Amino acid sequence: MTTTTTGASLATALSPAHLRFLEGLFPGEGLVVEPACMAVYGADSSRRSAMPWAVVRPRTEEQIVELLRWAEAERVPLVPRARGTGMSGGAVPAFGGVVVSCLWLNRVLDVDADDFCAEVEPGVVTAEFQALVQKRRLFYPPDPASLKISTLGGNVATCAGGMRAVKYGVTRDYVLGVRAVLPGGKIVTAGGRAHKNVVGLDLARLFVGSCGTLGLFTRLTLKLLPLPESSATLLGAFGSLTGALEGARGVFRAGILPTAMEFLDAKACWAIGQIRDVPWPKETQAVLVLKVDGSASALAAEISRLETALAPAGPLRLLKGLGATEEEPLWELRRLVSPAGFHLGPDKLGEDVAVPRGATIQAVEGFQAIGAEQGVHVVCYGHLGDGNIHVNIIYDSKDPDQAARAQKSKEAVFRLTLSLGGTLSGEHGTGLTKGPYVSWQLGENERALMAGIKNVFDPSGILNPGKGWL
Amino acid sequence: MADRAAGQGPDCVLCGCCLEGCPLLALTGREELSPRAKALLAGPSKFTDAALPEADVAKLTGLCLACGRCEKLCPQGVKVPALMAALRARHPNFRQWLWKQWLTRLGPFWSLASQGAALAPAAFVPASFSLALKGLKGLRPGAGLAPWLGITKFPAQAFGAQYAGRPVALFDGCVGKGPRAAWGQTARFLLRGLGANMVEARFSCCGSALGVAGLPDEQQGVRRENIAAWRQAARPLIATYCATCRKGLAQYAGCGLFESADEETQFRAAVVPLSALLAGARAKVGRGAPTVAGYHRPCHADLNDGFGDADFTLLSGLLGARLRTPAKGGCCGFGGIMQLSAPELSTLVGRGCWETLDAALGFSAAPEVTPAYVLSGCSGCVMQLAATAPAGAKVGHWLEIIRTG
Repeated sequence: MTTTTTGASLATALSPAHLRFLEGLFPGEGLVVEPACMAVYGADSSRRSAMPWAVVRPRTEEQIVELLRWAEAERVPLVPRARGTGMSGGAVPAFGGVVVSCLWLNRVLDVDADDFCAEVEPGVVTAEFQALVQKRRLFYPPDPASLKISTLGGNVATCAGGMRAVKYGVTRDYVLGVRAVLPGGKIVTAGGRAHKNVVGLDLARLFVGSCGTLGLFTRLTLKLLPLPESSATLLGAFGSLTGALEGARGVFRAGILPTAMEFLDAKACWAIGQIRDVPWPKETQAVLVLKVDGSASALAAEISRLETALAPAGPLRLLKGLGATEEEPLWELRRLVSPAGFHLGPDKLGEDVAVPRGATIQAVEGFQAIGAEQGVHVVCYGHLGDGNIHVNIIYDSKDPDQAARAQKSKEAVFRLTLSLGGTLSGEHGTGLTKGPYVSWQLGENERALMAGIKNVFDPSGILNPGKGWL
Repeated sequence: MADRAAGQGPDCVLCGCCLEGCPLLALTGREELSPRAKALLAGPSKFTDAALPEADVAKLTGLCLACGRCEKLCPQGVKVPALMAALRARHPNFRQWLWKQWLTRLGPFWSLASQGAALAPAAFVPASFSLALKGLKGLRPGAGLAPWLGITKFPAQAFGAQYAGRPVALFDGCVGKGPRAAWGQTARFLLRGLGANMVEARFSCCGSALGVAGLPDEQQGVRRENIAAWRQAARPLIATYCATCRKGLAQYAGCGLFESADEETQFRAAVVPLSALLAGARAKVGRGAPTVAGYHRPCHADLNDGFGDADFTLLSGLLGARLRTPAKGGCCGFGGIMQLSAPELSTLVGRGCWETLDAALGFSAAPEVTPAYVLSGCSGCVMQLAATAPAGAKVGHWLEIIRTG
């Protein structure tokens, strides 16, 4: 087990008295201490892992208040966790501590069609919440690729993005309020049910994307929209990457703001073809997937406008889907790209840089060139519409030379991104895997300011130590 | 901190795609019960610097329903139920012994056992056995549904055109041979109606429950017997009426017991759901029919063999709007060995399944007007649903509603 390296005053293990306290506060199945049961709570989709000291499962806010009062007094690190589907190791207790699973805090407390807001606990699964509000003809737009398996709490903690961000924005844009418990047991209620609110600093948004380093969420107030009547999807296969990116440009030039605009490069297309039957021809070098939403009567016209806009780029094939049932198979292909990448090799560095939108072509071509130069697979895909590119560097860690080249590629990708005015992470967060590079992007003054803010919320540094930006 | 170690065969990449389907995770909120947690433990240890006690690993990995939903979602092709079975095989313990007794000894006498179950005072039944016995009580002879559906037209012509006199043997499985011999009788009645060239083969248990319980040798044993019986009957079509048997037989591919690759292909192609042979049949609803009949979709029904959930296709054709099924079907929680190792979890999943059924059928609103009435096409599901059913609910195999008179 790794010993604590941050916050010199933090506990380095649980004492018998600590365990007795936790047993009292979390009776029965609420406390997990067997290593076999705890193992999964130490890992996440970043494929990093570390054994937690213990796992607790609160059912109530009162338990969380008591837990944070105790943890602050005893200087015990706490690592909040929901479904552990994050890509950057944000939920991995790499510096020790007690993992706090919020899967038992999974109630939807309120859905209000007049206020256009909902109040939820953090453990609610995002897709289940979306389905629930849809029944009331309401819409919660953020749709990270993990939406069927990740939670609203996790999405807020990481400010999850998604494919619809180009039109609807990211999780941050839908968080109206956050109720959280701070170290010491203080409860703060930031924001509220009003859609506009400029009283004081925007603490609710400060919590969004804070990776569990500022407080433990107990309740989230989310903004909802009226549900668009229907949607339609167009998948275009192109003979070259430039063709696809030109096509995308044509769409914006035609004055269309799609709900989603995704692209897959040649390697991504190949990898998906390894696990599913794919509808694009063999010579495909890039695929664009576009979604539009609105009234059912207008969508057929909208799709033909899209076809016209794409035509000059010379697509090899266009596939249309009107309505959710027809669209789903097209989107399922896009969602599979991340796991499909493992068919190129057993190990992956999954980056999610974002660049100014005008620099997308330059960035993707540059990333592919880095892969070619270093002799590793670089798979690019993602949210073309907002310049957020997933760059997967695939390699075999058993070959130390290849592993070193993968690491070099990652750093080269970061350097190119920053030189184009971009950011190291568009939506995954920095967590463990990108933590060491934050200083490449953020200046000393900015980091000092962030450290100061963290210190106000969590003076002892017990919340998710070693993560984020410090 | 330990990095992921590379393993043999498909390896879990911790993506979490499986989390969507696992009924245990959904109902308990305990991440350690998720397929990802089990794949993490079953693979080469990813926690190389923290040795995990083997007994704890064995205990945890025993808590799997073997419903197979995670397999269908896994982009890597990791088969968690098979991984669990392999682990159980390596960690034999009392529960498996118990289950082995249950399947291999009691199997042929299930009709007797279920009669006994009905008589056994609850206080004398060991706690871990109670749910399994309750399921058997639901299956005791005479407790079946009263038939109300008369077949008015058999698709004999289409059947004849496709199979041209090829012999057909019914695969009865443990329940159809034991406590529910009536299923086998109705199935034979239906095959006669099709004009099938029926042959009898001395089939044994399909072996899937043995495999899941971590008894690979016993599983191979019954597989060998079944393949021999099939050869002896001149390699007929094998018609199944239990989704788990069908899946169990489909999994014979790659077991190494066939004479040649050709024979293996021939066997694989010979396994057909009885309901698929009846595609295009017509029927008349008679007296005693419920206003609404629910359909429970077995987790094992959705096989990628070209037939899909053939039971549902047949029944929705025959019953039309009378048949309802939840859009997102839930696992019943039968879970083989979990009946014995963690009956409380099995019950919990069962309860969740009934809630899903209720949302689609609405029986709890007015149970006296429209009581719960649920059909399925898997022995395990029928047993489990019978064991976990709300008072007054009726549960049975779809074969039970067919009139044979």
